[in-house]
Amino acid sequence: MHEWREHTAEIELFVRAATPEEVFREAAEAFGRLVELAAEGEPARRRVAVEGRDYASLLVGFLDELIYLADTDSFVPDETHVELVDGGVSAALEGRVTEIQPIVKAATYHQLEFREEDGAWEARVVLDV
Amino acid sequence: MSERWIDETLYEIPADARADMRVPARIFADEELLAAIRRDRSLEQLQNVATLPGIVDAAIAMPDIHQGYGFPVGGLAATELPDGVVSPGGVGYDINCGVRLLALPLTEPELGARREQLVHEISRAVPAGAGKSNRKALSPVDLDRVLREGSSVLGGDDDVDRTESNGCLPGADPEAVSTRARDRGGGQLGTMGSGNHFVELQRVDRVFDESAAAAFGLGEHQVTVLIHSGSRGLGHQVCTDYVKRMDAVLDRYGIELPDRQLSCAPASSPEGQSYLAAMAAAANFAWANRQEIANRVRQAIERVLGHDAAAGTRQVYDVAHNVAKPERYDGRDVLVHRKGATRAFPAGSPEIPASFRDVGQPVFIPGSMGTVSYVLAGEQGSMGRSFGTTCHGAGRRLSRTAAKKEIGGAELRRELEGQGIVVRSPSNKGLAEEAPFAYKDVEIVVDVVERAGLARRVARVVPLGVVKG
Repeated sequence: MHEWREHTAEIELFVRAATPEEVFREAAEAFGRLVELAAEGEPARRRVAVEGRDYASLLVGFLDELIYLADTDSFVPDETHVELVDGGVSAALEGRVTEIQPIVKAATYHQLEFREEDGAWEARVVLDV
Repeated sequence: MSERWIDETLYEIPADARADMRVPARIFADEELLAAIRRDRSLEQLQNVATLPGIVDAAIAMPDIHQGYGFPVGGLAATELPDGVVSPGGVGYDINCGVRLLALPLTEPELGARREQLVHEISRAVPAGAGKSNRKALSPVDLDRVLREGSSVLGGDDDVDRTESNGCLPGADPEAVSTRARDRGGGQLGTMGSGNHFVELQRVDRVFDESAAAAFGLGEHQVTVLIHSGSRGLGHQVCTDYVKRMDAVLDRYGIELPDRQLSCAPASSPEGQSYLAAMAAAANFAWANRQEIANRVRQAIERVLGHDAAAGTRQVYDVAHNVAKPERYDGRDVLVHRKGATRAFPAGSPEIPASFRDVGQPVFIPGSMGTVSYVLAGEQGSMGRSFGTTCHGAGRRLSRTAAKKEIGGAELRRELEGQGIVVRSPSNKGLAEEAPFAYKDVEIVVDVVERAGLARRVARVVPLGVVKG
């Protein structure tokens, strides 16, 4: 699951899932639904790969990739296949080129969390909008 | 020492409030604003800023401060040069977000019923920037020139002269701007962006200082256009790139931070120097962007009101409110990070265009949508108390979600139109997020900076129409 939480000027994404991979998948789903203006468009595929020192850094890098694709290609993901390897994440994205609202400037490290909690994985990341 | 009011508009949290603070945190506010500021985590964030290596004097907040990520929005930090830190987060993702005011050679009664058509033409001429339509395509060579030279690539001498730093920060290096940043922003010149960015058609409804207003070219009932935009995707990506790059070398420089988003490096380090060169390039892109928007607004004016009205439309000034600049105070060279704060140099400053030098630098404070905005002039107090800085806006009070809970976009549109304000915005949702009650009262914010001696009121403007991204 994911939810958008209150923040005075920005928005915070909270994700809870069974595995770290699913956290990435859920975050991509949340981002896609946030920026798309309509559930239509031309089918498209993209690949992203990010390196970082921990899951939290990887999540920020991963979201920055999605922001870049939305900003430059008007691409939004629908299905995300995630692979976590040592020090990196790579993902195959199936989605659409569609009309988007370019509201997200970046993912930030502010109050960033990515941790195992009661047998599930939780992440929090603040987006600058 | 404990927290205290230094005087009626300045509150201080002493440096010993927390073990990691190097300097105090100071807030320009009154009791009512301070109570509002305490409702979110702005002050904790301001105290975090006070821990930065090389910070001098104090971490300073303006009355429009609100919670951000890392640095609060509506404040400044000056770090000692050459070895104090530079922090990309202290400038923000929207590098050189700022405001530009144009004054038309006519009054509201003269504009009359053509108002709606003018707002409509402006909305057609200045796209929000989603999708790929209506973009000014720049060749890589032209983009390099914009990054190096800023406003003057697209604007005439009079506009450039009436722009902070003449629309160009020195030291810009296009090579320091990544390909990704170019990809994101290269096609966005002349676009407004979404969020709180806008172009507003206004009229001057009150003049407080006749001679200063005359120097700025403003009189009662005069029609003005206020442009609020920044460096678009290019600046966002520059910040993203360098926050990450500095985050990776914190250990090398022995820097410990209470929040990773404060990521920084000594200004003299290779990372610091490279960021400053990229930031200057992004700032120049932003000035060229506001110049291109102004050019397009003039074209819209020409289509609706004719050639003379367009030719007679003068730029009052253009100020940045997210930027870091080397400046000198009391014989000390410092890097002033302004994030949601405006430079406000007083009369006599050589940095101000000759025509305003006896008056002080113009400063524009947009209120929330549908309310009033202010034209101020920088005052002497800013030099001694706030590194030549004043506030930048009303300051958010409610989150976007909370704002949408209070009012629907369609309802807000009707309300604004009921007040005689023409609204052009593609998204009702985006409109509701910027509802006036989501912001602090700009009157109170301006009252505090005036009483604190940072800037004085010159004129007040009210909206006739608003174009939102």
